[in-house]
Amino acid sequence: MRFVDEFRDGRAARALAAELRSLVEPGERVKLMEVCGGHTHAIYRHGLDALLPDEVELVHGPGCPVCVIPMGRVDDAISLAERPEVTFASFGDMLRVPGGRRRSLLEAKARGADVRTVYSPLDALALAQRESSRQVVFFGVGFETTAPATALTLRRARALAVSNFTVFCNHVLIGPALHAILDSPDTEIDGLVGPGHVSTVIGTRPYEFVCREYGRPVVVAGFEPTDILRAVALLLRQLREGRAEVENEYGRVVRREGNPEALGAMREVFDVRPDFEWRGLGPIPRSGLQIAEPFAAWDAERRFTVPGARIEDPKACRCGDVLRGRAKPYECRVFGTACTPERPLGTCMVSSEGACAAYYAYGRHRRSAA
Amino acid sequence: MCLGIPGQLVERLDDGLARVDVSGVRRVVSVAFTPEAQAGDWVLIHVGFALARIDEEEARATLDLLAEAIAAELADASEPSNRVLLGEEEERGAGVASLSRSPARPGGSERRPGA
Repeated sequence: MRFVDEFRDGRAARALAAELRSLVEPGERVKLMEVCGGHTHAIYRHGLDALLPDEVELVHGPGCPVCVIPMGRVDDAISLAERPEVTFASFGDMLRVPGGRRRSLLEAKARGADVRTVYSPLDALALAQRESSRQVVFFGVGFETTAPATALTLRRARALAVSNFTVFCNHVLIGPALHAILDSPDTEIDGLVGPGHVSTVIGTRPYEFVCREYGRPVVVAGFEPTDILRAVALLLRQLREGRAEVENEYGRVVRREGNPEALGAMREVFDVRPDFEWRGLGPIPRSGLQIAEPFAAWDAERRFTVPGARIEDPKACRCGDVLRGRAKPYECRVFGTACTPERPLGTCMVSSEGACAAYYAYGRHRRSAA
Repeated sequence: MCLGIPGQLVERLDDGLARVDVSGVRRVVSVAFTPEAQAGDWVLIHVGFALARIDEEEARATLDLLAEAIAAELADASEPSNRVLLGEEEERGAGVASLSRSPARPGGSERRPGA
């Protein structure tokens, strides 16, 4: 068993598709939000949208950390990267994210900034150890899936007393974002496909408020085609039976209590910020993490000053509406014209997990093709 | 961003690290979050960290359910409207049980109250 191909079986997908058709009433409308950008990508990559009954509409959620980073924070990252003493280490998918005036880290690199791509925050720490004359700043982005990795790296930096390493922390929390979306008056979502890998860390309990307070079912799902189709089937069955519960489709890696070691590392290293701005969603209370006092020496925002400016999203770009499920990518005027994966205007086009990039890459350019 | 890749733990190393095999490529990852993982175990890897041990029992249970769904669908296949979606006869006939090592349970269609 390799835990991938087995869950891509075409016969199982067809059987599940037939099951889905049996779970909807002709003509009814069911709106389900897949919270995680990884799911959005998998749905279009595998053409799962074509297997869903016409009655079911998928709305793409905010679970792509690249997509929700506000332009002001990208500019802060660029200002750090442009300091002559700084080597700026980032995951590759952040490099093309445009900040103000469409400038990106990649362009800063082209102009001479020392920007390096790393696969892991541990690689950034190793870089600092190797190049001890440089100030290595790691661009910490991501949800609870990634935050523990940054936390453990900071723990290690302190243990090894690596003084030329800091983190520019932009980690965010999925729960407050779901609150914000469900509270939005124009959101009509009947159920949520819960993020799979965030849940390996936080478990399934943090979604219980969605059922309790909003009466909506949640099914945490894996990323293979049959995982996603099965999650949709479980959601439709809950709706049909009038239930709103948290179910776990991804039992092979997700436990109800999450990962205690990872949660412990996060609690030790981070504090929750009073509020944090999300692209397209605005400031959300208690939705972002900052580096806690005992690790202050490894906090890039304390060691260096950043501009910290708030920058309005470009008017032509409808990333905000896309992230709230109010618009489909092809309804945006600049989709595929002024905004392409090669030269993105909005963040949803940058990350391969962004809804716009997924629609662009897999040919959902018009309503008819979607 | 939250991409997770399955890999098989080859050997545990010092310092909370382990060597893993990901589709034939070996690399060193942190197992600080999966202290229980041993050589031979499958783990889910994210940005250089093994985030979770993959539970083979749970995976098989899911595959059994999928096999049941296929079996239920084959039972319905006589319905003409389903034929096109189910595809060619040979394909349908090809080992339902091959999906997992456990054979499909009989009476799988009971799972589909809406059908």
